[in-house]
Amino acid sequence: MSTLEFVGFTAAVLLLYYLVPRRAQSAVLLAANVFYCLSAGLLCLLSVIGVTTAAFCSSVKIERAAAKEHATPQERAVTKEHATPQERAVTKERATPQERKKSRRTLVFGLVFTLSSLVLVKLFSLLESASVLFRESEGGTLGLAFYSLSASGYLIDLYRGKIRREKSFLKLFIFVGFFPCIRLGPISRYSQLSPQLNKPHAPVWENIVSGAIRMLWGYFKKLVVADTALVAVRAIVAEPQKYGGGYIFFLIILYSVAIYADFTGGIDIALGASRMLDISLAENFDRPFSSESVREYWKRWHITLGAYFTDYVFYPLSISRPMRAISKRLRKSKYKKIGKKMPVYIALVFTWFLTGAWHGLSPNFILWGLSNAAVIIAAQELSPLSARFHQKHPTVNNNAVWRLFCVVRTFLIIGAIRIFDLWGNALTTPRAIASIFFDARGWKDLFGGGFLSLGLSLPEWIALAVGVALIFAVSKLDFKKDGKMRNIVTRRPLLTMLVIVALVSATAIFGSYGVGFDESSFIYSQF
Amino acid sequence: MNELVKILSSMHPEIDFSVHHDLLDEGILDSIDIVTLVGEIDEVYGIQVPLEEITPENFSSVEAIYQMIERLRGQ
Amino acid sequence: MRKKRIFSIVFALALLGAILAFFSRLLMPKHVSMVREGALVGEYYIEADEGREHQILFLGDCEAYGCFIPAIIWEASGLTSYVRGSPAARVWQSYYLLLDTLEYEKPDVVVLSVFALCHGDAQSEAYNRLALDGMRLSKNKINAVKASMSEDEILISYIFPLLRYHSRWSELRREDIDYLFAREAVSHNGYLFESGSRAPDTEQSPEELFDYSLPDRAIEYLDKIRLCCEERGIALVLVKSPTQSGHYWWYDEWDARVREYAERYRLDYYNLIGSEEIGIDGGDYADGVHLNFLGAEKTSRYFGKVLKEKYFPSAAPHGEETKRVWKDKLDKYYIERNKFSEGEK
Repeated sequence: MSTLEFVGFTAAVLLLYYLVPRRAQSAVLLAANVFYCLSAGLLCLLSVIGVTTAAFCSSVKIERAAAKEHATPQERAVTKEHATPQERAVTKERATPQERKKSRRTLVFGLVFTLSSLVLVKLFSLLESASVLFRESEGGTLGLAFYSLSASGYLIDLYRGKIRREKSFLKLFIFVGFFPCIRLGPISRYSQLSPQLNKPHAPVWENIVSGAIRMLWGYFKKLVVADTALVAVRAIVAEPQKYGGGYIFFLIILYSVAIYADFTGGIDIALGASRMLDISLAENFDRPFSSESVREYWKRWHITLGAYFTDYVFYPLSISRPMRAISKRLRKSKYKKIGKKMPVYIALVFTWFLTGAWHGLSPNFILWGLSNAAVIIAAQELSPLSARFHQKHPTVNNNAVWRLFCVVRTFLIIGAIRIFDLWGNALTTPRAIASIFFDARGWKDLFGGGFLSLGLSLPEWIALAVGVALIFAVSKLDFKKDGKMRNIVTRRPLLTMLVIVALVSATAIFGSYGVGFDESSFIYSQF
Repeated sequence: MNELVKILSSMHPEIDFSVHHDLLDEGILDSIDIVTLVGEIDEVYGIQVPLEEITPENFSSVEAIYQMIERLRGQ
Repeated sequence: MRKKRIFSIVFALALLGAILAFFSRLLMPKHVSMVREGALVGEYYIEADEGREHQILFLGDCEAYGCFIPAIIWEASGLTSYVRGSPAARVWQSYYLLLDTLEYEKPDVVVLSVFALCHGDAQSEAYNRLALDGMRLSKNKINAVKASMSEDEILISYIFPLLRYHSRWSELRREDIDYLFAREAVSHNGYLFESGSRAPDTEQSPEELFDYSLPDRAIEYLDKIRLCCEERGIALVLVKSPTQSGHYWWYDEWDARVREYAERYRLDYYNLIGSEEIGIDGGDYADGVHLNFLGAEKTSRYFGKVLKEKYFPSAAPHGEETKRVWKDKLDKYYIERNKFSEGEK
């Protein structure tokens, strides 16, 4: 769907949503999901239905054993009073080892079914270009990477007894295929999203207006900043030998800006749209570029993806029996210190391998994932050194310059790793990064006005800079719910409307869309 | 309890753990820390922390962690 | 509180409308110094708004607006005319321009330049813009857009041209501000002055075609134009301009088909290629393909007389007001012409 189409679609959904009786609101969401999927093609709808079906069928079997295993003492006590003799028998005991095994097997099958199409799609995508800039994002695979994770997360939570099975297939479909999330996420948790989908919603001025502003802000970031910056990014990426040296350094910054604006913009659109529907989705970003370490960065960037891999891969793997066995054996030997770290590091590397693979199975994405792991492990190994340094100079930690240095250092490291996205040939990236230090001509060219040869004119560069400055300024303000800024904006109707008018006008005039631009392709929706 | 504080301090010497009660939310401990901690708890206390105990509540403060260890010891 | 909210919504909508309308005006290309062909379609309304009517309406592509000079036709035969055309205009675009013109006046004769009949496919986005942006928003314009749109175009970008031209904010020129609200005609009643001089390449022979039929779509719209004129009692005249050159060759087969069509429906068809009375030679071409003002003058003088004899043999003389207006037009034409009298042979 293009920008205008999605805006129109959301407006139509909103209207219906608040006009129908409260009980029918779920039906409106259901219809909206179906319509949205269909707009990307029948295959997309079938895919969402397929994943939902896989999750639904598996959930039936998983629940039976899980209920037994995880009924809390209170639950067991309560059902005792009103239960039939059979029910009482069931809840009194814990699951037998066979039942536990069966439940685990069902979980594995369930995960295989919900994730298989994702794996297949990633395998097939190996056949095409592996650069993020040149891949097709639409059609049947739209959002597959995101809702597959939501559905599989639902199964795992069910297995762990954290949630109750969703008894209605349609309601599960509304959760899995919730239309604002399909394209880019966030990757929702059943316990967080589902209750909201099932409760009645009254139209509230604050919700509608703050949601609208958030959506418009997302479109502004995307169309005015991201799509403009991407013009120059594409120019550099197309000819890395011609645009070496300083251009690559510039690329790191530019691409970071572009993907930040693109991704957070898309998420703002999703969260804004659902806020207008009185539904809160999980935040996916928390001022990521203010991070002072790579580790911190991954708590602030694509938060729901990190949370998924942490909760469902990293934790289970690192405390699993094989890991503990390795650790014990190493501790008994003379490698005691390594023994403690091994499970963590192995789990870390494997988790990052999977995270890279989630982006794509081609070498550049795998290397991207592993690079992140390497940097984190390196930082961890260097931390005793760093701790000693900080003990000797205790005031450095709070020194503003030092913290700025950390922020810039993190930004550049993450940015350098991130450009693995851009070239399918995994070797191009290290070569390009090396050229930063060895290609002097590139630096001279860039500063000699070479940046004007990247497809953007000087006024456009200035507009881009203004847009980035605006993003920076806005990020310093606090727009959390019940925060100061949100109150100021939503409680003064005239000011609210002026902000909306300003955003619409600025995006309409300065946005990079229309003839020659393909505005509906978000980079992250390719995953 | 002192052992626990020693372990935590060796992981993050710059933090005074007695004053913090929201270790995860405040960003003092992250997933890598938790997993490392679980490994240390296994070695020092002989307790294997199961997956379902890895929750924000259980790791919010030194006291909370210790309570969890005690609870698991009792089972 | 509710009142405040409703008021603020209404106010915002009005403000937004005003801002977008203003920027739309500002950012649309004015076609004064560059690509002046884009101004042609819209300039008609300068005349129409004055309530002026014309006895003859010329429709077509560059063969219309580059060959027929209303001022010279007036001078030679006392007939008033307007040329509504745009570069590489397709027949459907001419059809809807006809309908659009009929909202303002009813000419006695419509002269359709037939070269565009050889095209049945959509024109490119750039040329569509030149043909359609100038039309005032109306049902005819929307139909014209729908008929003209290529695959990757969207209707709404013609209704709100800001969606198409917003990127011009980084390329604004002085004329975008000067002509923000006012407009000045670059054409002479639809004739675009052309002053170059280059004879056609006689070496280049026309290429052989796979298929010499005229596309169904073109004939479909030719029918529509014919029926439209019939209903209103307007005489339809088909004309092929006197140009003939390598790439833009008017094949005998096409000529035969048009002749056939004209005979079947009892229309006049004038193929002016090689006409001795007009006497086009190498010096009358601006760029080897289109006529320059010299060639256009020759064509206009001749064709004006033809039209007068056939269609206005006993037309009543024009009133004083019309004569004054057209004297001004003639003067304006000669002012521009005299700038190029050095180039004359």
